[in-house]
Amino acid sequence: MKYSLFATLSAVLLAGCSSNVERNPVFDLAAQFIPAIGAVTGAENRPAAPGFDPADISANPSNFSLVQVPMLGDPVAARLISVSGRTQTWLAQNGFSATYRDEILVATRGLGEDLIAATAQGTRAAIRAGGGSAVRVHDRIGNQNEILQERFTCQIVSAGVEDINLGIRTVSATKYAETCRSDRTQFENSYWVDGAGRIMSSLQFITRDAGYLRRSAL
Amino acid sequence: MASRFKSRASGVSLIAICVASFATAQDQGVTYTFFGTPGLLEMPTAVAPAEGEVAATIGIFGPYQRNSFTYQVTDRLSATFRYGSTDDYSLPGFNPPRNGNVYFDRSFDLRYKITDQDGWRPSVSVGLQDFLGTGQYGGEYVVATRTIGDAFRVTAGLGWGRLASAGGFDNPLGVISSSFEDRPGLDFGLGGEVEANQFFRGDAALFGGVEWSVADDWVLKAEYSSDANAREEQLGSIDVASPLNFGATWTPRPGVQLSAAYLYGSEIGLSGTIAFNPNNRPVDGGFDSPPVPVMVRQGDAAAALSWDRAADPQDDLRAQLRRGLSREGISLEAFEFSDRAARVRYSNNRYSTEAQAMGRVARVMTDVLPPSMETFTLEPMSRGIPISAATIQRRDLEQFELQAGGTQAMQDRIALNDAGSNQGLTVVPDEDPFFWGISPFFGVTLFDGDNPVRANYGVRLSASYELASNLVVSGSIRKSLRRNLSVGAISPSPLPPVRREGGRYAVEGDGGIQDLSLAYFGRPGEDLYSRVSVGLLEPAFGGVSTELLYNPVNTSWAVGGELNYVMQRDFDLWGFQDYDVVTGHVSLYYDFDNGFHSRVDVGRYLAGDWGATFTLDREFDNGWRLGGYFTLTDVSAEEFGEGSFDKGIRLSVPLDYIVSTPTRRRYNNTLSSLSRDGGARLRVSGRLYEEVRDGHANDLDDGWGRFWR
Repeated sequence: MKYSLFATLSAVLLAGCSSNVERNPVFDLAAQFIPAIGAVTGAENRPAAPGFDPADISANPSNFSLVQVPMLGDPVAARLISVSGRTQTWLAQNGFSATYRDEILVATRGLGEDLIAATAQGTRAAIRAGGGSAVRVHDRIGNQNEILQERFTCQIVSAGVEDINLGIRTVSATKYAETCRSDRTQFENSYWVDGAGRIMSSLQFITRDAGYLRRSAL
Repeated sequence: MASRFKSRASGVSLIAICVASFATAQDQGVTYTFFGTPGLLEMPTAVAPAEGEVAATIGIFGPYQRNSFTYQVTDRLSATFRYGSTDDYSLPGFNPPRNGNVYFDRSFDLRYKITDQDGWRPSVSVGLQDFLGTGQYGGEYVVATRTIGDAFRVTAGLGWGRLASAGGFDNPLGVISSSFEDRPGLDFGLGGEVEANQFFRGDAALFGGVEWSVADDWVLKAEYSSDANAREEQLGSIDVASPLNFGATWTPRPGVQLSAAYLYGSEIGLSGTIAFNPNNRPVDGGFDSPPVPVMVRQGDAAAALSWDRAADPQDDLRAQLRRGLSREGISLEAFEFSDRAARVRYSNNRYSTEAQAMGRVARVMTDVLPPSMETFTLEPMSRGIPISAATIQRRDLEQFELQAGGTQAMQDRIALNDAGSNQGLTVVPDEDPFFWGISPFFGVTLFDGDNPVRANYGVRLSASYELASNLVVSGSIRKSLRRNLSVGAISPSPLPPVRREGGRYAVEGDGGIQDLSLAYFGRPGEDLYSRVSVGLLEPAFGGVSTELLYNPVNTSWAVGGELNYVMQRDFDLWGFQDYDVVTGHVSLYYDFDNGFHSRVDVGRYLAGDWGATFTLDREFDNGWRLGGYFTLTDVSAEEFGEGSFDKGIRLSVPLDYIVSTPTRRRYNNTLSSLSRDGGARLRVSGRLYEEVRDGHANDLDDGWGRFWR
């Protein structure tokens, strides 16, 4: 966390508590540093995100996947919360969401410097074709609430077949590496595609501050 | 090789690789003087930090302690407010101080960077030091600085006033006019007035110095000072043995500078600076919880022309919409559904920008409402009245949510108008109209004539009850836990004591009712907003306050009028004193749309004086506001007392900037000159412009990047 304890305490001193149902984010933040504050305000007692019981997962594993953003720590479960045509949105157990269109990451929410939107149809087409080039356009949010747009040119190549650990099982899949460059940023995404052409696991770039998102099918 | 005079910017990229570096417009590696201004040790340089940078500096040596705030208002203009103390000091012309006397003084500087370094041409700046006070540090300068290679910086300047008190020679401006040759004596009177007849007059002197950045985090400095510290030396509080000063500045982490120096051949000095820039949010975008995704209608659903009321009864839709909005921290206030359209009024209790709340409301509507409803009209409310109406096509939400460029596309397609009438709306009653809260309070008076900090802090209990969403009774009491207020610290004036007894209210009224009033907000006509407040409006005054504002949603300006009749309350907050007054203003608000907001209030103030208040704020799109104001009335400087007229610095920090989770709370403070009686305004809550502007075009535009957030 970038916050210092000093900043937190300063913020607490500016806050208060009330009957309003709207939570006071200052107390939630402070509770991370000072457990007693959580005990008083109930910030610690928030129920775990619903819908992540092991029974839920085993009953319908295709509605769950395993996700990891390194800055947030270990991999956690993510639940499918919305399907619109070829677009799927997953809500991670630790609170962020990620939206994929044809398995290509097009948006995140709740990760600070989020990927607001992306146009990246060419990447999926190139993977299906066994490699090629594509153009991506990414929107992210800046620190003045402005949208910053970046255009990338990408090369997608097949990197051979390898065994990929999906967390609870290992499958054999073809790895595709996508290298993208803009005039200021470069990143490399990886996709592992099974024999049926499904992307079983991927490591995809979000933004410079948020890093990469790993997602694997269960 | 990159310049060592580099900005130690924060921000760590976890994995991604940045392949290019960027030239920046501002100077790199700016360090601050003992006066808290960009420069060497005592002498200024011509460099300027990035626009928006705020630097707080404490500089201590010999008899001096200087506490300074410097704010880079634009790329070229910067302003400094300084509160300093000098041991064993009195102003020239006054009797020598008694032993141990500490002289406290406030001062303001302005500096302007005329040219940037270009090729061999140096940067050049011009500055006024302590131009608006009692003039202890009063001086002017023109200075040129050139950064050479990656680690050296050379500065030479010409000073006047205090900056020509050592090594002075005939003023070269005497060529233009002989009036520049002599500097008139300082008539500081009560302070606080511009001493323009002194500017750039009298002897001039050269100063200069060099800086050497020996490592990324170390700068060594040497300078020749043209400040003789004449009065201080005369009074024996400093021994000036040499005009040469030597020092070093260490930057252990971005935004922190520590300096040590050997000054005037006799003194060791230490200074520390904390600098930050509101432009740089700790976490871009913040850690807001994810929104409900747009539910895209599939197949033929989008073609439906009518709402199946049997399948989706209105009561069910209302309950689902209310629940969905409640999860987003938004209250459903009223709605109107038809086959092809839905209109929703709501209050945003969570997000700092109405644009973000609008995006969340629109998404919940796609999730809940039947597919035939194609046109959504969103009417944000404030204080129970609608402040605008944004009309959105549902198919646009479905198309642009995940598309690069979709944020701008939505803005281009939304129609923003004044809110519609109440006709056709079904009002959703508030389930819990009673509100209470406990919070700490802080009353801090900084930099008065005798004591740098007077503080009063404790606990505030507040409560309110909504008779209707736009008719609210509210009140608060507060209890001090600790204070060092001084009753009667501010000297009297011929004016009625409308503000200078603030300390007595805090002391004698401790535990009493701070405010208890009934407020009604209304929409009397198109683009018109109204307010009536009755009761104990603030600790010092009670009565009636009325206000009318004309503010079309798509304009950069607004005009308003306020008329109040108030009586002064007793110090124990139980009854009223004999003093009553009719006070009010006509106000003009203008948003320059380049980050600067201005306001002029003309009218009658609490002491019965007539005049005008001028306010200019720099507002960052992320919510920070930093600005200043001054009030000129028909009260003379003599009647006003110390400071001559009311003026101050305003600061407002959005709390979501600090905690990085969404909240509408703000931290507001005003650093003003002493609370005196001239130019004093009634402190009534709910003034209309601040209540309605969030939902209007300019403010929506500033926060529009958060629509899909």
